[in-house]
Amino acid sequence: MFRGKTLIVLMVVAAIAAAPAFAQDTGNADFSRFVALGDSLGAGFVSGGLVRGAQEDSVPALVAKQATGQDIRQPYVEPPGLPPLLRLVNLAPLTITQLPAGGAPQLDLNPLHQNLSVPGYDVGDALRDRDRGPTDLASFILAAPPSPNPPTQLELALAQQPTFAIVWLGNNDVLGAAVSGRVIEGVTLTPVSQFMADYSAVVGALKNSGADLVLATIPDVTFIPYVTTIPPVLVNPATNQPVTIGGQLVPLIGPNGPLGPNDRVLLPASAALAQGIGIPQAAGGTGQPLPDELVLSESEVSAIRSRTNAFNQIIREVASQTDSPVADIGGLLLEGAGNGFDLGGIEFTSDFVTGGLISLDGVHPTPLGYALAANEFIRVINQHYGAHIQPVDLYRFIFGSDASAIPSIPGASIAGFVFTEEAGQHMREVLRVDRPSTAGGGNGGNRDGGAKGRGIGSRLPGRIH
Amino acid sequence: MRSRWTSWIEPLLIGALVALVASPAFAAGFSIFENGSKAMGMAGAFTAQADDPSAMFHNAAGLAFQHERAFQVGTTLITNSKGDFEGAPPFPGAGQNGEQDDTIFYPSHAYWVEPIGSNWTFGLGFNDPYGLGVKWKNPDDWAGRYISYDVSLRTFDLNPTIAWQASPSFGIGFGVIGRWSDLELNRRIPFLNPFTQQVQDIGDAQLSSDLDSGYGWNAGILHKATPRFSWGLSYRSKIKVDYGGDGRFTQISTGIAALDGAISAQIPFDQNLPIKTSIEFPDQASLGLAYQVSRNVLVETDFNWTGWSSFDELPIDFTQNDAFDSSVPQRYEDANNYRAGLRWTTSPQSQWRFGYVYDESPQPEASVSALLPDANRNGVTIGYGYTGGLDFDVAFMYLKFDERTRNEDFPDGDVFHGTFNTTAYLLGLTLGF
Repeated sequence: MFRGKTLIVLMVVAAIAAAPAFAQDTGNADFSRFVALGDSLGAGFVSGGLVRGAQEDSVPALVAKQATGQDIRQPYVEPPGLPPLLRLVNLAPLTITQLPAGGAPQLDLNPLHQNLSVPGYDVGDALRDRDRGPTDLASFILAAPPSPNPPTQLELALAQQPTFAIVWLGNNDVLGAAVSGRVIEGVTLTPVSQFMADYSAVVGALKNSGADLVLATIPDVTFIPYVTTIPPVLVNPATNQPVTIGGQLVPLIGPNGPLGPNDRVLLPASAALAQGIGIPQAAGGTGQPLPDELVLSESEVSAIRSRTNAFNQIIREVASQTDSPVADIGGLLLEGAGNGFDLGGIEFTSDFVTGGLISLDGVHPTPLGYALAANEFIRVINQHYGAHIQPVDLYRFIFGSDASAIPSIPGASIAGFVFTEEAGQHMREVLRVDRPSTAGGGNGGNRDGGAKGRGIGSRLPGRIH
Repeated sequence: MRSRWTSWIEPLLIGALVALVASPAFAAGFSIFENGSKAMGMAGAFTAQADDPSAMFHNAAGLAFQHERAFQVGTTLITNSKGDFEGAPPFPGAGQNGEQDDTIFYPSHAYWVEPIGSNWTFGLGFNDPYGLGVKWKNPDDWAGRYISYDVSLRTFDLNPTIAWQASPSFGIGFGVIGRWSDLELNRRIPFLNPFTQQVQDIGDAQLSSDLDSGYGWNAGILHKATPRFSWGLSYRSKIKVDYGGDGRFTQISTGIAALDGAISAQIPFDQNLPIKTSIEFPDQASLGLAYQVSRNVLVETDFNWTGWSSFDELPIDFTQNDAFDSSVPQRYEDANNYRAGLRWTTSPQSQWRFGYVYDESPQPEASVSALLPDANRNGVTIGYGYTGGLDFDVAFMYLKFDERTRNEDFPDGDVFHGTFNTTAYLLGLTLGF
């Protein structure tokens, strides 16, 4: 009897001791009905696809878990992912390819997802996109029954009468210009006036419904590895050092002649360069120019930068009008691309493959990168709402547990790489940037409103379970 | 029969040999104030007394009142009874704890006092005023292993001093300090495995300096203002030591031969790579006030200031391999400590001593780390001294570090959050001849 009593006392004590671990002080922020609006970044898109492991650690899921101890409802894709994820198969030359599809994607859907982030969505899509078939990515994420007039991302958020919402939109309003190598006003780049109207409308509607919000700045995508990894001059793949002829660097050839030092060559150009395209004949290449969609000219870079700054200014203005904090995700990327992050003596940067913060698609963060972003959201939520939410523990993202799954590696130096044609095509599909039939064609992008979320969705089977 | 020469050199040599081990940081920062067991018994509140050969460390002017040849040699045994770390998010995170090895350190001292004429006194001192030894258990798992798993810093000061008794109640002293120091830092080299995107250890780095030197000076005044009241002021200058040395990397296998090959092609393992670093040791000033309460009881209070802002960063410069350069921001701030001591003379031969010290940490929260986890400390001491035949002083100190939690970082520094808990015991023994 004594033992029984002791046991009960111990259990009560244990229960009391265990309880506070989940009851974080969320201050004035009420996480009881939490939703997230966003795009691929909010969805936890990694290495060219959506897959359960990474989705479970999406930024909205991490923030909500830290605040409440609860998991949120998200639409999950089982491995190998949708689309199947990219993987690194060889170090020298560094080769990235796509996992085999292995049959129809396996989905695990919930009614009324809290994380409503749809890869490919720009701000206008969050507000207006209803034009989607039953097999589109947007359909399974937003998971509304098929109807002639399905709800938008915003409407589905409002339907949950949210007390708190993450709004992490705007990334795709500039990303298309960077990955397509073409700046086309209204096609790859959203006009400022339209962005202002749409962004204010989304945030205003949520605020008016009574939700507290956290917003986020958008990164300057001219600093992502997709844009920064290949220099505009010839590099010896064996040494990873620039080639010089007569003491001079050898500029690659772009659509308008030799590239300048501030022009950018996009990641998928590695396949063309491997065939000698873009390399002067004098240096052993074919002398053919790299096509326009593989090059961002200096003026295109500066157009993207100034548009990013304009959007971020709008985001900050809307935040101040609605009394909402802003997570500086744009600043995080700049830090990663600059000095990097030092975690206990380990340096992490946004460098491609070796940096640890950006995944193999050269655009989206790794799970560690997302966890750092979640901590930035938590930091500003704590500051603004007087909350004391603990930051996400990064240890498991750095040391993990699956270190055994390392394939054998031929070769002996980490230099040069091939982002395979397959991988490049895959990224264009994911990012909904078609190869133009003619260089510089005005209809090069198929980003006319409402088409987002289809590139992937077209691969979906009709059967969703 | 012994010559004068051998009779004083022996204690110094013994002191030097005994001191050839790492010393931990046991006054705030990595200063060691326990350089004489008599002063230690009163928690170092000794600036206005300085009435034994250790005056060379505590207040050079104290020598001015010492008119007989004397030798002292002693050591302070220091042991961590506790040196724990509990990790916190974001890194290294909950459950990533650490524990320091229990190691005994013995910073040592030796002093020779030689009167010259009736008003002048010469002294030669040897002591270890700075030291650091932080060694973490289980370097394979210790979350701070990329910062440090074993660091040690040693200093040896040789301090010739001259003092002049200007009047029966007033003395001044001046000394020159030669400081020899070396340091060693052991840490692991992290590597982001590109296939798993997870971090593995690929090497061990041992950075060891030569025994390098720097020079400075010290000065003090001591005024016995009334038969009952005296005061003293002591100053020791900054000393910069520039170190040369070698960095040596040893490979740790990832378990994949090809990856190991790729790594060893990039990193010069098993070679001595020349390195340079430097430390500017801070200046220190002490003001002490002593009052003879009764025939047998004297009390002293001291205020010490240390110019720790000199310790701004610890740069490690690989002179021929810039890629491995690193610099750890420290950004110490000037700090004070407060000491109070009481001595109770129970007979002409014996004296009991008691003391209390509050030692303010110069270390800002953002630089509290595996390299050197500092904190404000409270110490209490008890000591006993005997004169007659063989003179000896013993002292014991219990030193409790405040719990120190790091929750912030320098913008250009690393992230290493958690709570450090440290407790130490010190036992001092000094013999006089």
